[in-house]
Amino acid sequence: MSTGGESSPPLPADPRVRQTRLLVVVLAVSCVVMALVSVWWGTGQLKISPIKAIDTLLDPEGASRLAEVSVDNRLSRVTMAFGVGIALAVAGALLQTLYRNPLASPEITGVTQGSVVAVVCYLVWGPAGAGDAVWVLPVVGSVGGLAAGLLTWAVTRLGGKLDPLRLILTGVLLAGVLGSIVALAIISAEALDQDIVQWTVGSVGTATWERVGILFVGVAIATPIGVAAIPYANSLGLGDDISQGVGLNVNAARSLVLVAAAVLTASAVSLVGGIGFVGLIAPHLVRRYTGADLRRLVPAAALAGAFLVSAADFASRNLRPNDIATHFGVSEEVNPITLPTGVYMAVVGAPFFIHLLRRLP
Amino acid sequence: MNALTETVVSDLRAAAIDAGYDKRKVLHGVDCTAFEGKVTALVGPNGSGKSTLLKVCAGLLAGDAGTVTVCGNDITTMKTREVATRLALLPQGPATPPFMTVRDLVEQGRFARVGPMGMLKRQDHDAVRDAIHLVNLTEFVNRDVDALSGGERQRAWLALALAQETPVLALDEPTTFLDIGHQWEVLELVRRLNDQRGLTVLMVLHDLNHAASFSDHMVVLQQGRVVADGDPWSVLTVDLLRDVFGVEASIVPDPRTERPLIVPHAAAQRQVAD
Repeated sequence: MSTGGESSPPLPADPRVRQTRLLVVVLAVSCVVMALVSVWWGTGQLKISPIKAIDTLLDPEGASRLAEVSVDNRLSRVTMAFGVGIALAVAGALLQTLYRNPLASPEITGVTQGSVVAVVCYLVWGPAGAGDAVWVLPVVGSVGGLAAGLLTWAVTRLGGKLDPLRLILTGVLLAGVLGSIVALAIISAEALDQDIVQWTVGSVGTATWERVGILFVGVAIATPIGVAAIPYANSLGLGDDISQGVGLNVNAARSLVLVAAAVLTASAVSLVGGIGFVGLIAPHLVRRYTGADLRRLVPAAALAGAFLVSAADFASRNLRPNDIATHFGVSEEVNPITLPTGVYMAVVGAPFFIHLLRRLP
Repeated sequence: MNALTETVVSDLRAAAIDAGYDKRKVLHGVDCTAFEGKVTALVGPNGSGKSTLLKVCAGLLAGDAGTVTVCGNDITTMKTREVATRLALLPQGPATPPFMTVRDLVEQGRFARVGPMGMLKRQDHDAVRDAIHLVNLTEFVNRDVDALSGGERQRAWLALALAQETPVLALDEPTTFLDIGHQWEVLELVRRLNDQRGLTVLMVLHDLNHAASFSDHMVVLQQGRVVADGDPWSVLTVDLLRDVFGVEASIVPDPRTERPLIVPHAAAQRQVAD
């Protein structure tokens, strides 16, 4: 069969391998810079202005207090942002390839909305109390998210083949239904609870080291599944006929990739709420440099996601409506509130989404 | 059965195939063989079931009745991975995602051979390199597939199938959407692979002159039934062209190859049952 290697000339090196390496280094450095900037600079809710920060640093007692505040609050926030960004970006990259659709994102599996619904319903109608252990909400969110993902999968499977278009339609339908349940829960809540509202758009403002630990347990479970899913997702990206032709059991492979994406998504949204757009944008930001092959795309997209969410969180702490209003001298009328991370993600995400739509054939 | 057979026959045999989609029956008791080391062309008018038969032969569609054996093994008893090491399929008009290079695409052909993590070993890289060389795309290996011309793109997809290193190759209308020069380029490549590597080829072709020029054996389908089967000269007759393809034509020997050449004159009077 084989003609032997000697007859065919060696292939020229792939420039995208080098580009990917460079991009990964640039993104990793950007993340580290973002982490440093987030921890040591900015006002945020804790009112540590740069000058005060320097003042405090000069005072030995103040330095330890500042370090405590910065490290415990801000570093845990940044770490949370990184974890969430990585999980959602990887899920997005897997799903865009799997669905053969550039507009695919973790939201269309139903997992995000499922998780938000479970948590919001638990907070409004459930036995939620101040004494709940720190792991209760993440578990409720994960169970809700995975249940919704499973429901999307099962409804599509019952109707026949697990083809991408049918999965997308089922996911969109389910997300719509779940979204209205969230609205119902919010309306029926006695008082407008800021926590619930923040949850629906997603915020890393609730980060503590304990919660970061829980997030990383989820990510630790999801990562091996995600890595195992990469070759399957790559192949499924070429269409069912090709995938089966090269030896995949198409339905089983697609289920594996969906499980990987669902667990990644659930581990993130069950801790910070329904943060959107990052899973959509991060893969697009890096794809033209890494190429479509997920072996290169996934690591770069993960870092891009980490950067995006940490940047959005940085913006949410330093670009508050009240600060902007103060700048224009109308501070009295503006509620000094910190908007959730998801709002800033959407501010960047929505125009990018329109840009994507414009470039589609 | 093949426990006793010393040498495995590299052929593809479909026997008494009934198949269809949901309630619509497309194939009725079709027998079709792609003989070892030969090029077999599957022809027939639109909607005659050519592509459906190819799908059944490649295991993409389960038949309602009948058996398909690839290299002596029943396709329904084999794992998808095992089928993929014996038979490679190039479906009609496949599409690549954006930013996918020729190399990325062709590497996918090694799926059935690589480990569970998809790591390519030395022999996988060699197979990819050979396949890309065979289709003459070494220079284009780092180009994105969707930026290639139609002919180059079809050769890239063919390289994916070749990287599977299978004895049997199934092609569904490999010349669709190509201009005449690229059509011949792809068909000559298929012929050369058959000559040099002894590949058994089963391909659906639309153009009867392509089939006559490039195949050793032809199978003609009409409304899901085989109506003729044999070498091009015995299959292609004036009556068959009129009755099956609805065209009045003369058949003359190609002055260069002595193969049959169809020269159509007019559309035949259509029968009601079309």
